[in-house]
Amino acid sequence: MARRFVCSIGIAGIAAAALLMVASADAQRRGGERPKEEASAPAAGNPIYTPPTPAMNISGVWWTQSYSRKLPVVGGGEPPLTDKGKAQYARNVAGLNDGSIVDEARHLCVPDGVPRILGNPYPFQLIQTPGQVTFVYELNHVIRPVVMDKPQLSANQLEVAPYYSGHSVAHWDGETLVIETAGFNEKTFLDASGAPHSDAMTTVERIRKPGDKTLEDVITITDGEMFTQPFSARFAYDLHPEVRLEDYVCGEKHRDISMVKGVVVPK
Amino acid sequence: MTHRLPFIALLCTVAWPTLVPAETTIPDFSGLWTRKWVTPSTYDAPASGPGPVMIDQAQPHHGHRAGEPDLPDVDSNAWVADYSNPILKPEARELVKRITEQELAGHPHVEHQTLCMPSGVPEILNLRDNMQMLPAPSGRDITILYWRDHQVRHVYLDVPHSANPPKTWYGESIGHYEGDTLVIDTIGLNDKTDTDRFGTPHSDQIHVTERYRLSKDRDTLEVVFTVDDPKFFTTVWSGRADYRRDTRGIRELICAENQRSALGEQQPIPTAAKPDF
Repeated sequence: MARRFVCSIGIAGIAAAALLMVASADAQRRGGERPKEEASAPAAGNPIYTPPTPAMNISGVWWTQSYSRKLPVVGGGEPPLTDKGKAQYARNVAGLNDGSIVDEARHLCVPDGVPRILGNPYPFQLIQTPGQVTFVYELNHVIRPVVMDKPQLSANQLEVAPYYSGHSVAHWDGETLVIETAGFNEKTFLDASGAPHSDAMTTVERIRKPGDKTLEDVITITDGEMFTQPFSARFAYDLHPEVRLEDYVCGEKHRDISMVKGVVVPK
Repeated sequence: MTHRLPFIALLCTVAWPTLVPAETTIPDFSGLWTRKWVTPSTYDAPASGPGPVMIDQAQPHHGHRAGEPDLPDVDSNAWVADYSNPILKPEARELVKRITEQELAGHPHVEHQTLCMPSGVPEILNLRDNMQMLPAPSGRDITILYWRDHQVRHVYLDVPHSANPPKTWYGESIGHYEGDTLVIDTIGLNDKTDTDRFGTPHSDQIHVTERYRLSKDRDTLEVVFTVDDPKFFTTVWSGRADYRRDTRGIRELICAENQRSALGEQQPIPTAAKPDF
């Protein structure tokens, strides 16, 4: 958890973004290169995405079927930690217990990161638009954009701008949406128990609808620093068309999630 | 007050979806947008009629470079509001005057977004960085993303307002299309946000109507908004908040990652002493 380092180099969201804007504008005037993740489309078109089949319509408000503090590893058991991973996990667990490590996602409401956000007990909305799939999470008002049918950014670009939610590109494999993500920062845990990952982590998610009103996300995690081999976790959601996402401001009272299986609301 | 009745009549007309025939296609607002403005972080004047509190032209805010209004502030000076604007009722005028005097004394007014708080409506129109409008495939709603601190608004199409919507940071927004124009009607806002960059207050009775339309060359998203809040304003007023296309790409901008404001001072940001789960 490199919070202090980040705080010291990040002059503040506003100032840093302002500097980025200057750099961007300057670079563009000089004809320089900047990672262009998605250009706007000046041509007129239909802004509404039409799913080719009902199974490829994954848009809507989804809500996890259950919550777990630990990553729901496919087949059960523990993630296959390397020695370094075991040591880091032990440090994280001890630090979270004695307070020397702050769970920033819960106390400062920074993004949970992937895969932890996938199992969160609040509803989220998936929105398919031409060229993009967007996860809008109620929790911590996290937005996760996924660019469709484009190559992943270069290793250099991913290293320059690591994100909590990583950089995601996706394509359809039949009726399964395959999301590949890389370029994560090191400031998140894999789950609430403190399972570690490095910034070398990459993930592949396979998202499909087992039924009309259910969604499944099986994520395969590869991180040679922390894990001896790739392993997978599975998340399942129900469609909730009656739910509207609500505001989420850290520390305020939020919607009741006590009915979500596995949730323990602190007293 | 003489302005109020015609304006309300106009609002009632535009906010009544059933009067409008259903469109088979909707206008294409896709892509990334960023505000274009005369003075950064502030609304532009409407074509006519009462307009927003704006910068005092005698003491313009500098920092954005002449001829390059979209560049960020550097070496900026105070934000001096023209609080002589007749839209302000005395209580609102006093507050804006006090904030402006503080600005001039070297104590900048801190915007909610600087503290990682929601901007509310209409002030969210003054956020920097990308904005993106995502219509759901179902046609039931539009999600508006503001990539500055991942602020999000949800607009529900062709449905009436709730009878008594709870007071929330972004309120309850409903929308409908009138030909090439998207009309968004927002109520149910709490009174914790400012109306603008100068700290102009609003109450929880504020009613905001926004109209989004593409320019003929499709390079500008023209936004005209109207504010009605009898508690703090003498009249219904409107403003412009146009957007231009932006090709810089989406970036993850997490406010809470940095616990200091742009002023370099330690500022409180929202935190949770007790986690939700």
